[in-house]
Amino acid sequence: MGKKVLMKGNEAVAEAAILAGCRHYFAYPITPQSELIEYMAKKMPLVDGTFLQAESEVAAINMVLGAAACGVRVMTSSSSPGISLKQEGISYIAASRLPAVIVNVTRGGPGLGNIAPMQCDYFQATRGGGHGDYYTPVLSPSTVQEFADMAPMAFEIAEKYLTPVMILGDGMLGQMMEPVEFPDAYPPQKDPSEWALGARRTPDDRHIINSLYIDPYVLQEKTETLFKVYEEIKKNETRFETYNMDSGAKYLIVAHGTAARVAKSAVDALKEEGVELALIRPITLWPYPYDAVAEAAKGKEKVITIELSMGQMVEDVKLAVCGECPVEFIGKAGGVVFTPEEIVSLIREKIS
Amino acid sequence: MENSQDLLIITGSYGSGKTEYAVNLAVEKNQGGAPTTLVDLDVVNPYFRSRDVRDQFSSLGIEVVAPEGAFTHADLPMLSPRVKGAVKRTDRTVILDVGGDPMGARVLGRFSQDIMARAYSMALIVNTRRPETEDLEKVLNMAAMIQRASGLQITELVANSHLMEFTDTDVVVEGIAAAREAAGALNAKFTRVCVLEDHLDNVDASALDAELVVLKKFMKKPWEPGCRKAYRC
Repeated sequence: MGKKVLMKGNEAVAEAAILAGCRHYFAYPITPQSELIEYMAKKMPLVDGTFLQAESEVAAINMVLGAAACGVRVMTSSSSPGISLKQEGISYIAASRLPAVIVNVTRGGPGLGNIAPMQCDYFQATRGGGHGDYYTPVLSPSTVQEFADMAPMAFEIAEKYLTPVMILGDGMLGQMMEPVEFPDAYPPQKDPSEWALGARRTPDDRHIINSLYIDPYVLQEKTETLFKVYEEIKKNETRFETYNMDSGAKYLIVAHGTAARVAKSAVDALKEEGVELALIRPITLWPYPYDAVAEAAKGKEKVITIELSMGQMVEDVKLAVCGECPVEFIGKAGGVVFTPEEIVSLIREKIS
Repeated sequence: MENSQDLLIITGSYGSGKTEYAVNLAVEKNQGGAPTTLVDLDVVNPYFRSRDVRDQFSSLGIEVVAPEGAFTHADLPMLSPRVKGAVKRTDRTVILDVGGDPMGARVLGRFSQDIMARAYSMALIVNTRRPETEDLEKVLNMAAMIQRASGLQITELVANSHLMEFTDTDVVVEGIAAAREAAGALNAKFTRVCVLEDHLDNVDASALDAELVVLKKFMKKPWEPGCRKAYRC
């Protein structure tokens, strides 16, 4: 590991992507993600990479598609409204079976909303987002270090399964500074001759990048293949973290990303008062750790989901818990984040 | 008006701890008996800005000049119309919290005529654990770019090397060395070294051969104990 430095989440994920061999980045600026594009603008020329500020988010995501088709590690980033604009391209990338990384540093919504941190893009991120039958693996960091570590992880997953991968941060993770370390070595890119244009392995090995299949039977077969890959992703890539699970807690908290930081502070505060809470933090939001949440909820009196939204992940929690015990929700709209005291009193209300 | 009160300009690289220092300095000056005004000139950062302490400061009697109303939460490159008046005031100690990097310092150019017409000090806050200012060469480069963008001279250096909860004596000492050397090269004074009160236990204060300023943390993350209000950007 190199020396510990202090970085914003936006800077750290950009640096990690470059260290992981990303040499192509296309994007359009938007708060609270702009430091990421600024970092890329500054650093890409120093490593002979390509930085391009596209004329729009739609253009940027299609440049990503093009670069991915050529077999290079490529990334784009934006914040909520910009990610909405990219959805058509993400659907095309998923259908074309190309590896690419998309970072969403979310902001308050709906609409133009505001620049405050919110988790209200959960549905969009975990349900494909664009049109058609597809999913995108979604990674949810909760520290700046994890945000950085997810860049190489996202490239690896993208190349292993030939899929776009989304890192879903939020404005708080993008803007706040924390100490971060970068490993000395990163996993190398997978041999792109498997998918890239112009990389015939045998004379008959033609790579045609396409997402248009006029014949319904061909589209059916292509889509079924995609879903076989999704089963593999579910089996191999589902990730989560647990906290205070062996405390004999009667209640389970489920939270991801920034909300999990708030939740963790509440678990610690209530522990001091003699109230035990178990916490599970999904790290992959798709595939969702349904089995782990179900297991953690076993024997609990209540499950409480905490989100910085009006309640989106709570639907996955309900699917996981499947009526075994009540699932309650604590959330906030508008990009307002709970204070430590507030979250403790809201949890206390739910368990009293 | 008698030119009795100071104009203190706080600059530095992005994330050097300028705002935390500026906010603490405002409290220090106010407690020292000087009527104090803190001016938020940050048009770069969307979160963690000195305007976040406005309510807290109004109860202490410290004036905060920053965009008001709905514009408090905007990410627009705009300034309060009261800034121009504030930089000319000599009946109050005025502290300018400038946005990071030359980009943030460019805002000062708008007021440099008024600033140069009076006495001022301009501090460069140095955190050697920020990659953009990790060594002497980079600190001097940052200083030169900030001076060019603002049209003003850096007169003092403040060491503020830290790594949040991983701050230790070595990290702080490394910051003192860089700030002291940079001060020599810039013909400025090395004045003080900052340590956040939460980190004092990890730092051997006797190893710091400089005036120690213990900072109180105002720019808290929402889950940190004592965060005062529901976080709004």
